[in-house]
Amino acid sequence: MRPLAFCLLALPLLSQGLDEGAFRGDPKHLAAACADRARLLRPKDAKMLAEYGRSFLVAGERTKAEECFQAARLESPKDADVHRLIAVAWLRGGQRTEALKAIADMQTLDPKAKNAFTRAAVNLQDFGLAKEADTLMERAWILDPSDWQNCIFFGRAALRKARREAAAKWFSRATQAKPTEERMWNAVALAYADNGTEPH
Amino acid sequence: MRAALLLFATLSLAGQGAAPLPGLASFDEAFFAGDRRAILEACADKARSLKPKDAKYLAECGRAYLAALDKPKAEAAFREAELREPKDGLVLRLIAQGWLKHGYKSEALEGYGKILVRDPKNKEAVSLAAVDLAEVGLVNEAERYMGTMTLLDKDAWERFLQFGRALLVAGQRKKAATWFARAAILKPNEEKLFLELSRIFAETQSVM
Repeated sequence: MRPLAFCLLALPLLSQGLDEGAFRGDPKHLAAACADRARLLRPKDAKMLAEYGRSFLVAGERTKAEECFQAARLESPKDADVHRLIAVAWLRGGQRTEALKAIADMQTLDPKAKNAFTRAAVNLQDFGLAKEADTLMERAWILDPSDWQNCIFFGRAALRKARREAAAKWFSRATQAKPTEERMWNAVALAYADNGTEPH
Repeated sequence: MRAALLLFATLSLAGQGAAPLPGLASFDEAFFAGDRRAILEACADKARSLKPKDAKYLAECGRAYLAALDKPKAEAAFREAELREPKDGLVLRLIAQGWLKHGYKSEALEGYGKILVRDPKNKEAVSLAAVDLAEVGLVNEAERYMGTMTLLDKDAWERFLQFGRALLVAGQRKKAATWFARAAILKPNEEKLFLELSRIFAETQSVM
């Protein structure tokens, strides 16, 4: 009975036919339509669920978004990146309180995830929460002061937000961590060359 | 005696109080909060002084020199990178990208052209060239490279999405739609494709 219900639900969406015309439509609805479509295909991966939630939030569908976030948390409760992705979704939706709650959950449930902490600190900084970003980045650094990549990643984000002094602190830490690493010097140079924008 | 001479020479240099020499710069917080061009030049000098084995790093050093407005050093780094890996499409692309990002259009187009001549089957290099060109609004050139890429691999849906995104960022919605639809037709049951599409539309709203 349940598979039949699932198929009935899926058919109208699958028949929507995302053709060229559809992709010229309203971006918010497109984001939600694609998330709907993706969800129908394999709704088990926690990170993907968190990202569908983000698309639903962009489309203004908060209930669907919260369902996705809840499913993601149940699927991988101790994966820091899942909580971070949920936080990013809330940040993008302008919901600061919910975002900071997800960041707090991340630190409680996966307290040694230095890379996720760094990524989350970058996200906080990108969305203008500089003080919270600095605190979280400090925590990531304490977990591993020799990780120059994380220092550069955060410094780069500080540069693109025009926080020159914060960037200087983290680039300085990177150079102290690995002064003989050519990739590190290159990465610092390119961060300044690009004013902190992310390369592809 | 030689040690004493060396010491005097070092002291006189240190006492000049001018911009620090490459290798002698003090890379502290104050330095990184200082003049952007000096930082770029000193970091690129430092990276080069460590004698990078990988030509890609040399190409990136070149880009940093261009950002520091030091064209002769940039050209030297690009030349060395190209000499080391003349047939590596990804190195050639990094050099061309360096020129493109700093407004040297003809040098950039010449550089991208070398990919098609010397490493014409490098799908990654050709599609990245297309993305670079699309992002700066050189749409006709970008489509030419993407056309070449499609001949090499007509099923590369991930590259189609990446190219579509670049077109979207450049404000080319209709052209982007063509590539998104092309990818969706290729993989109608691929969760990652729809996730990526939802991500692209969620993230690029501000540019529409």
